[in-house]
Amino acid sequence: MRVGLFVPCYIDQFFPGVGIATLQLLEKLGMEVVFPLQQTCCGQPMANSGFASLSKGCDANFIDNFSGVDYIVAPSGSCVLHIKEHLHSEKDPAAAEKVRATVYELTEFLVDVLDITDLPARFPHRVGLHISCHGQRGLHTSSMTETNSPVFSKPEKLLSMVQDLVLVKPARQDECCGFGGTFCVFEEAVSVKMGKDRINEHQRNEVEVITAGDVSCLMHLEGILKRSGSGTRIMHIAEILNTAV
Amino acid sequence: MSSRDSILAAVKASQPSAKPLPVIDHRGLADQSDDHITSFARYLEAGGGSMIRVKNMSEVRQIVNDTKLSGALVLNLVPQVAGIDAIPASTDVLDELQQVFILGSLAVAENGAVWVPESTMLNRILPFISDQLFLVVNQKDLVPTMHEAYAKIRVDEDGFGVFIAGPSKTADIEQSLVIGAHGPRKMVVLMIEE
Amino acid sequence: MKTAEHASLAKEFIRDEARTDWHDETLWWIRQKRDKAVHNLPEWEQLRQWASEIKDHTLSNLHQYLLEFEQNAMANGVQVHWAIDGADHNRIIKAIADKHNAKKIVKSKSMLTEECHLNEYLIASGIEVIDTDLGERIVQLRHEPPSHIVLPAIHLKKQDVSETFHTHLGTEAGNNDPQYLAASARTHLRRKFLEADLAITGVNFAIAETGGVVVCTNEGNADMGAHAAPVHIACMGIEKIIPKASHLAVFTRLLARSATGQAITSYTSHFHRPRQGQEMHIIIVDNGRSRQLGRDDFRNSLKCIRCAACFNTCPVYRRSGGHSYHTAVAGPIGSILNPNLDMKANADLPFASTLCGSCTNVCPVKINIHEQLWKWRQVIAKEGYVAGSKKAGMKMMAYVLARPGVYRFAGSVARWSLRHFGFMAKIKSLNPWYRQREMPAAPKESFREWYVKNRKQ
Repeated sequence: MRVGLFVPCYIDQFFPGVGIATLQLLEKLGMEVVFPLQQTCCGQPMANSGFASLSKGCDANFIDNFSGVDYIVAPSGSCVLHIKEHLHSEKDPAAAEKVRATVYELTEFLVDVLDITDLPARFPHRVGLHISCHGQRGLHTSSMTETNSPVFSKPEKLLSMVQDLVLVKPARQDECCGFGGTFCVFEEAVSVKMGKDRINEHQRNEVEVITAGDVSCLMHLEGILKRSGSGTRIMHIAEILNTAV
Repeated sequence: MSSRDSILAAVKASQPSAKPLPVIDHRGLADQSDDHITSFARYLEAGGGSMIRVKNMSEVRQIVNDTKLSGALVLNLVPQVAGIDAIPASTDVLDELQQVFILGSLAVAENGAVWVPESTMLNRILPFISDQLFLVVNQKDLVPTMHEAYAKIRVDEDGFGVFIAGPSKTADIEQSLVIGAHGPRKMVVLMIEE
Repeated sequence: MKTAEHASLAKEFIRDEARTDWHDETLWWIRQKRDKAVHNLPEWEQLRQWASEIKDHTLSNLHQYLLEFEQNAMANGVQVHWAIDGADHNRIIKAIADKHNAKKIVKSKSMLTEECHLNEYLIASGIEVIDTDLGERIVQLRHEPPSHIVLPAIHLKKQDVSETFHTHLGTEAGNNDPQYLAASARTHLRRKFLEADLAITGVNFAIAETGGVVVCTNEGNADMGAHAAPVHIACMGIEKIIPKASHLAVFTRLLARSATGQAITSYTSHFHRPRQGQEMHIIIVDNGRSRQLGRDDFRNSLKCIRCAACFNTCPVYRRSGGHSYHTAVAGPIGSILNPNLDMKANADLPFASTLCGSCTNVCPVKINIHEQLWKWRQVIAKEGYVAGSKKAGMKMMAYVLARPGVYRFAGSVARWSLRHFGFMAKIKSLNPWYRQREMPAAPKESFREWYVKNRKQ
């Protein structure tokens, strides 16, 4: 199985460790992973700001990079959702269609495609799970508290395979952290207040680490944590799943 | 062009191609719990009302008669209890109304609501202006959900009809529940078993 | 009406953090009550689906249903009027009031009349209009608009209400007891009901097959008004129509559970014919709705039944307050309705969201609210209502991200700059990120650089 690793731009630039963990984890699980070198970004920052019309160049570049693989996997629900919902090509609609159909967020890939039941990972820490909205409500990586439907969670299923990990959930299980793309700067006051409130709930649970499927949420939470001098760390779920026994 | 005609023309031009009306088959879905009376009482209480189970109309008659002994303005509008009391015409007099007894024609287990049509309340303002409201309902008229309720009643049979599921209430000040916002401070359903 | 954009009004709101927390927690508590009610009903998702389909069907046959409704309402002895916009609506009401020489009006909750600014209009004409919903009366006395469509005074604390009532109703200074305050309002409003020349109500549902309207309240204020006054006017938008009375079962099961977690409101009142000696009018208002009906991407915002579940669940609304939306209908649904009314004035609203999608999930009629927020952003950008600097930034970003070489160069420059000239990014006035958050660490090596070194030979 040939997997194309999609490392979103801000992860590539600011959180290379998340990309490395994702790559190593997929390799550990027997995947043939390629990282197309000319990739950049999914185009979401422009589209969510109202300029989807400007993301054609990004779309074309993405399709060029990822056309030759069986699956495209990324450690980000948000970027994957954007590709799934908004990637288009006037030149080659079939190629765009294939990309949209084969792109997966990491946890859904591990659970739905690889159907893994155990992992060689150990992480002896108290971990708080932040549920990132686009993965959850967009890609349905877990059930949602708003709806009356069966309860499930792909990230929780994976974290339950990690030895000695103690998972604690915040009181408001699936409330948004307030990152929201450019929202985090244009609505700075609300964005930070939302982030502070999420952090408070995790800190009441005395977690050592807050994890999530999206680095964007974590980057925002980390910025607030560091400003307050907190010792609570953030880790992407790939970094926990990739720990050694 | 009149406002009416321009609105209708604009709507006609804007509305999309016709979409089908769903078939609402609630029978397979509703939670057909047997204990409708418990459910009714629970929801009524959650809404601030209460239910008293009575055996028959003569027990209701007894309650009405006892109430009238207080000397306050009490009106009985349930013909099966006794003669219907004359309703004062002036709303200023009705403003003093302490209690009113009205027949409800149907009750709903899933939410504690009672259907009261104009023909049994006689004067539309009575269930609202009275300090306390007593609705008399026959247990055989209890239905599981709003689906059965709307299937049984005809909403336009009378000029007015209302589902009442508790006293008048508000939580507009800091979400603190206050009973008796404008209308009844107390609402009781007398549920007749017979 | 608009004083500033959402972001700055929200910032002002959050300045009082304890109060913001209280606002957030109170609304979250209502969301939890809603969840409890929803999880008690196994057929919840089916009901939502039915409601959505009934509304879709109705909107696609609205012309026919409006005619059917009008005909049946007239046959019931109700006078039907049509208003093309807010001004038209207000004039019709004034004409009815003048005909009856009505000087005192009581009005129950109607977001439509807020949208049309009816109160200001009538008061300017020398007519007294009293809002009778307790929350609305509170904000009316304070000369404020409602901050929530179901809980108009949710932004206020009992101390605020106490002060307002002390000033206007002469209640004891410093008595903050909600029971006492509500009882005082009851006495005050009881006189208003009994003295009213005319009562105005909103409409929750208008039944095409019977020509009747349904009004839902907990307080019973719509009924006190309509049954005491010699004239009753019910105001409705064209989208309030439902085809059949049996459809009320679906909507009444959804409405209160979504709004407050109650199984049903205390009163669900069905008005078909005026009472003996009374005159009843219905005003059917367009005010931009037919335009919205014509927008493929935004049409189904007209399915809204005004339950406000999207307000209560919205993490942004809970922390910014209704007034930060500077419109009659705030919250997520307001942010997709208001750009239709005035795109320029409300261009900020679709951006007042993280697109988390919770609003869409709670919506009892399945409006894809967060997707419509995204789509409005595209329309607003295209129409040129986005700041020029933002547009230029986006163009620059699009240029860079479409060119892998430029992207890599820009990325390494950015990381290098952040490592060596980090103080530049720490000028809070230039970098809103940094005001309350640290910058992420800038690693020497990007993932790609690591990959080329470690995996590619």
